[in-house]
Amino acid sequence: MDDVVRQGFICPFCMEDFGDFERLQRHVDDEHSENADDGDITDAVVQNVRGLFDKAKRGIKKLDAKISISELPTEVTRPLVRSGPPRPLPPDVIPRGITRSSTNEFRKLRDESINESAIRTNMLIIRLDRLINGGPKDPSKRREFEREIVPWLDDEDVVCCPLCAAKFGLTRRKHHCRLCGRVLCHNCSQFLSFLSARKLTNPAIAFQMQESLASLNSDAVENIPKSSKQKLISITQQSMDRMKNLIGKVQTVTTGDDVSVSSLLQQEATECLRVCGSCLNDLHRRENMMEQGKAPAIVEQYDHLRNCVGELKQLVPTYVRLATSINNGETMYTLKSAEEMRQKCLEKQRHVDVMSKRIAEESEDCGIREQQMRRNIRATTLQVLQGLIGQTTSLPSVEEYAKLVRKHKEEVAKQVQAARERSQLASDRILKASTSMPLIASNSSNNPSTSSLSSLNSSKSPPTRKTPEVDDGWVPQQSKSFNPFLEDDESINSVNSPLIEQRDQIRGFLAQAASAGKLDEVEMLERNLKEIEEIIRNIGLE
Amino acid sequence: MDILVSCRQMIKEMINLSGTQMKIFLMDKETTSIISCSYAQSEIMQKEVYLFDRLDSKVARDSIGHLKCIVFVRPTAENIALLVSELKRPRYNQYYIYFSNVVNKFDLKSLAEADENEVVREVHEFFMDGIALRKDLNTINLTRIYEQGFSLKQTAAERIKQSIIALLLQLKKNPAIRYQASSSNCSKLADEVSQVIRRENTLFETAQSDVVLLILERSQDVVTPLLNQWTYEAMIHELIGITNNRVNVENQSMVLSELYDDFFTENIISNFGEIGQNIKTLISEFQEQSKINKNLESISDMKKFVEDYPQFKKISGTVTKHVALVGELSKIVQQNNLLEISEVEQSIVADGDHSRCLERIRNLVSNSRTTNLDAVRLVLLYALKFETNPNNEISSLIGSLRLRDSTASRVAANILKYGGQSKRSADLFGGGSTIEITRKFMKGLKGVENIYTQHEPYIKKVVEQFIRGKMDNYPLMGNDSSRQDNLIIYMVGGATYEEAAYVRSMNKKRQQGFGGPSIILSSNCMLNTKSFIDDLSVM
Repeated sequence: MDDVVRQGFICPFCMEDFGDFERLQRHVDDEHSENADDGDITDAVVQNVRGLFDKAKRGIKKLDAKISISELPTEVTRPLVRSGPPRPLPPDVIPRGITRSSTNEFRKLRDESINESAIRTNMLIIRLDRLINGGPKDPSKRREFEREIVPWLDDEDVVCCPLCAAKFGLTRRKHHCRLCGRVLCHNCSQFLSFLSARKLTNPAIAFQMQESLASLNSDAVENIPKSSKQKLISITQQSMDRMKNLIGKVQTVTTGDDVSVSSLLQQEATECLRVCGSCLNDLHRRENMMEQGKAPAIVEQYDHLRNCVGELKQLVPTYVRLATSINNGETMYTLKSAEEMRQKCLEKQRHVDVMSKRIAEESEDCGIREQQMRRNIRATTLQVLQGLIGQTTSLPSVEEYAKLVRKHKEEVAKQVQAARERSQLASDRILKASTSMPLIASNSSNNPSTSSLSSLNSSKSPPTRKTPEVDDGWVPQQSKSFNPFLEDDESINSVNSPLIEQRDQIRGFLAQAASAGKLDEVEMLERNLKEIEEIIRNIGLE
Repeated sequence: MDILVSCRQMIKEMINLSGTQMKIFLMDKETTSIISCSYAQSEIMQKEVYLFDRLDSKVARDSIGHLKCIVFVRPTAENIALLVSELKRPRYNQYYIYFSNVVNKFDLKSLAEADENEVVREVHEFFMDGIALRKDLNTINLTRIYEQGFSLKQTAAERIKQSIIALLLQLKKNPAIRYQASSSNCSKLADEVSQVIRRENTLFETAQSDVVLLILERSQDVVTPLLNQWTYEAMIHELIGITNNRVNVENQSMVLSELYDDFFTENIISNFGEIGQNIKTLISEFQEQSKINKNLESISDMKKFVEDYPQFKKISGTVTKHVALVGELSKIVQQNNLLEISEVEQSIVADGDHSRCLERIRNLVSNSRTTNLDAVRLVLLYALKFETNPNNEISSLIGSLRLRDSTASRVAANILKYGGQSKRSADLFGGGSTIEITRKFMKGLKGVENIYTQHEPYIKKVVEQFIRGKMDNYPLMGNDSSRQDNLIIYMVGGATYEEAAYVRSMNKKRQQGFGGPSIILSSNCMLNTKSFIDDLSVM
């Protein structure tokens, strides 16, 4: 904090010194009267927030005010009555509406009800595992083996099929679900192939089998799998074929004669399991959950598309920054790097276009809604692209750029000159204004009104915040100095200073960051570069 | 307070909670309106929602295994049943379920038990149970809310209560509740709302209490919905009809949105004459730029111009469609002789000399150019104004309507029962107290600017009383008597766009720094004369 004891005509609101009473009063009327006007207590909160902005604004106004005060002859008093229109309210801050999450409660309730079915499904899978891995091939012995694992319900107790309520008799025989042991008729039976069973009990092996099956189907003959795999394939192929046969036969059940069908079914019994609907349902649910990790092609395509659009959305603003700088004739970036960046953007845009088009077109096998979704993805992507393409401004040619650079240099020189004159004027004024004021402890550079006074005496450069800033953030110097923009590039390079080296390094980093599209790094590096260039100029003064 | 922004924040939050990946948005009939009035479809698509569907769609929805599904529905019994069957056979990969209001524990349990496939990722209540038509106007499109004797139907009372609760939570407000003392419907609602607030006190914990909820009933002012309107939006609703910000003109559906239509936003409460002028200015500017010189004397000139110069459409955006809309309005005004009719309406409402009014109404009712609706509205206004005049000719006027409209006598009887002299706490037509006389005199001195817009809706008086703190006819629920800054008006029985225009003008003034409360108008439906008379004819 500023611990200097200050005297004089100091404004109680902003601690600014005004030299004499009239100036101070005028200042208070101009700058602080509005606080008295709005007695709007209800908006206190909003006022507080605005206060932050107002403070900053007042800071700027103060500078202007000082100039205007000293320019006015002291005899002329400005009218004190302020009868302006009412000031509009700032936009309301809309609070986020109240919401409530029931997710945890929902999960708890779900877990309670799901536990039961999970336990049952797990039991089924353990049974399934034992049924398909082992046991005799011989059908008659096989039945004993199955009954050992799952106790079957007694035939005698059941008169009707519990599922379709049809009476059992000579033509409708009793069957048992191999997983829960319940009795059911043939029509209500479902069949679980060994392959799907294996998928449930040992996903890894089943996956391998499927893979090799797929590679076989796609005529990849040169990729002959290992012998053990081959066996597996033949087994699965056999089972698949038989399954197909079976389905065909099941379909003929209604028309064909019973005897042959039942004997055929006996043969298949080793490769398929007869199960009831509810067990199969439980298993299917488990299967679905296991498969959730596997995404169809569109998911991958879409992810890729989204990533590319994301990159593009980062790249384009960086390019726009580069292009604006180049079009202003600044030398922060080279024309070549901007051109490269532009090419990169265009390439990405083309890529995104092609990808979204592909998503929209590869929709033959999808339902109507999915087709619509793919079209919507394409349309939305195009909309984004149009917005981005609108921003990618063009670059000047090499000759045009050279012209722009020259023009920019001249402008900078002019600004430097103007600012120098202005700051000279300002410090003269402050010197005049402060004469009435007895000074105590004048060596504090934190004190704005005294520091500029001391800076005049010691010919040090004033604190940068005292001088009005020019448009592009450059801080002009106090006195005649070396300015890199006014010199030829070679002459700068010939100065063998570590600072120059550092500057060149930052330029290199900047180019890298820009081409990588890292906007925040670019901003930081640009700031650094400007600081370094400023220091270089100051050193040039020495 | 701005419900449109708040709705948009909520919708954004719903989508964000579901993360990235392709998404589908599943809604019911009412939530579809809620969403579509605050977000354009293309804008939601930018947030990776590529499909929209109804949970209750009659057509079977395809299953798309890799989609995330955002469900936003009202927590009704039907929706819960539909969700239960949806979860038992999930069509999509993951579900994010949001309810527009409080969902009860029992329903949550049946959903949880149905989710055997564990596809549900989130379950939330997002309190947003009404349609945000404008930033200060809210509705639920619920008509026919009364049963015999003008008490609220049980279902309607429940739905209105829910929408008020959701509105309060959405705005994050815990209000002091005032209600119209003369209405038992209002006092009942006020009581029920305050009970819910007490019961759900955890929900209202973070809410601010800087607002008054004022529950009014239409019966206090039955005149406003009977008048022809001359400000833009009110006029469109009166002459053509607006549903969920959509209006159909020349077989084209147009969206009238504050969000996507600058011309409309600026002219929502402009007078009909001003709008024509504003359009003309825009076209003239365009003509100057493109060195075209066409005469623009009438709306039909402008219409032709817009058709001839498609370039104008490009730069003017939405203006073109407003040319068509204004053209349609002026056609109806011409055809139906509305200038004359409106003048008579206003004179009934404003100064209202009995014999003169009667004569003019008789003339208009027998005029074949006058539509049935306008004839009925004139007679109803007459009946309301001269109900207690011993020389009134109400029955003979209704008799003359019989040929035009068979329900007219019932409507007239109902409107007097619903909102007649005995039901009104204050004089709708003025003329009684000395203050009223002075007010009129002052107005007379300034000159009546526009004879078609002399009428002011009754809520204007109510709001002025609120500002002065004179709310004797609107007692407080409980004893929270601190004076407050903001006002939520709930109008039981339907609001009008004339009232919405007044509220909008007040909020605009406040925004410009002239002070006054921030106001939101909410109601069960937006009335025009036709729908108001429809409602009255079935009571």
